[in-house]
Amino acid sequence: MIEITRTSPFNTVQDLGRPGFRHIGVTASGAMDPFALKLGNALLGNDGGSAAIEVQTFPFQLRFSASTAFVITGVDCEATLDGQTVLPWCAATADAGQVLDTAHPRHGARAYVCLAGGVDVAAVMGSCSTSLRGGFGGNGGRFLAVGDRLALGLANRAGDIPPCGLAMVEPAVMLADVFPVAPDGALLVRAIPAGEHGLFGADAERFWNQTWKLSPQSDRTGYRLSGEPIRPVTPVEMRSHGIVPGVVQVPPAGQPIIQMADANTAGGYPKIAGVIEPDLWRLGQARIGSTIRFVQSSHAEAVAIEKAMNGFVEDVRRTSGMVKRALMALA
Amino acid sequence: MSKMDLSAPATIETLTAALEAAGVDGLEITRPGQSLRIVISGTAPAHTVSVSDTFQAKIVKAPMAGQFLCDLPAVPGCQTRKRPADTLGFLRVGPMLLPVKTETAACVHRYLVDHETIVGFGDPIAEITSQ
Repeated sequence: MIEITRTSPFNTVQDLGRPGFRHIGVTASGAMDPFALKLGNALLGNDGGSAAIEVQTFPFQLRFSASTAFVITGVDCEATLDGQTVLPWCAATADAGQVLDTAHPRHGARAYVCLAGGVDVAAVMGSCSTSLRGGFGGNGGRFLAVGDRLALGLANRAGDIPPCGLAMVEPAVMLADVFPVAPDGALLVRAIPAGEHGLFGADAERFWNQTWKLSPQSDRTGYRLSGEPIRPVTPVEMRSHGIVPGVVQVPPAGQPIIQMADANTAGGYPKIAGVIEPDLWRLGQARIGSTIRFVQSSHAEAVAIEKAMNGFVEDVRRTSGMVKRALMALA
Repeated sequence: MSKMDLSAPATIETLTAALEAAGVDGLEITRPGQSLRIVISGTAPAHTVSVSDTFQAKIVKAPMAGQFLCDLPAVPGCQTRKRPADTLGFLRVGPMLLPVKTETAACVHRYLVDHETIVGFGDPIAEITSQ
């Protein structure tokens, strides 16, 4: 059991979401950075999709009511446990009564507090994710509040963490060749031209070439970009059709919208591109006001990146288990 | 013959000059109640001149085999994260980093292995002094 002792709005319980219900208007939800969630769960020996706390407004603080292994993934939020530094991406064990505190991260947007056994809330349509727009799932369909107490699932023995803790090399380091960084700091987001790409004529080139800024009108539903507007050669009237996270729509004002984890299930704006799924987690860590540039990708490249990411998660799960067993044998 | 004061700057300066002239990497003098270590810059991972009145060194050994890192790997585009005060480095095993911690508050007197050296179980990693 943990108790939330300090929080701001929009911090929620999330897992990998509830795909498969979009046809009845239910958005998938799920972690904005599912890669961080999977890695945290792998390090703790949890099931890959165990629920965790997504923290996107800081500071955030919780108290443990029992000895619990945990790890903070995603961003470095200068966390402390009873005042002692807790490294990001480093699993540790908290004692009953200890307080985990976080500060505003300097880089990135979202931290995931993963706990051994996972956050144990009732699954709705197969998922523990909070749907804020629908008002269901997670912790009563709402964001966390001070005084909320959350039960934890049964921890796996593989979650036993050495007394000194156990960290992993950050994915940004391990997969540096898979996720290139632009010299000017802009986030490079790979995407594939979508259905209405051809309708934008010369403006399509500007979509790819210009640097966009993430506007304050961005949230878990979608990111609105600001930059020089792009428009179809002739105005387009379309019937609403199904859309998914990653779809880049262009409303009449010409400022693109990227659908994110709480994406609408249908929309009628023309689609200029679709962000490849293995790059969505990087968008999940993009901060308001930061810059992004789209890079044309391909299905084959997306599959290759996804394979590298899955390989890393599996490597963390396998090697962390090996290290834990070796330390127990040598003790 | 009077005892040399190991904490006197003039003494340290003289000894350092003598070591450099002789091409010697460093020296350590320990006697009851006082000790002096001089390591010439650029010859070892930790280059320090330290004097302690109550010098009590302790060797920290590798808890398992791995690649020893003094600091966390640098993240592209981000400020390097400082390691916690009780952590003197990490043992890297594939994607994992095992923090090498001191049992009590201590400071690293000197590293006994270079950054990124492969070490085996029980290999001496660092010499620490209790605070």
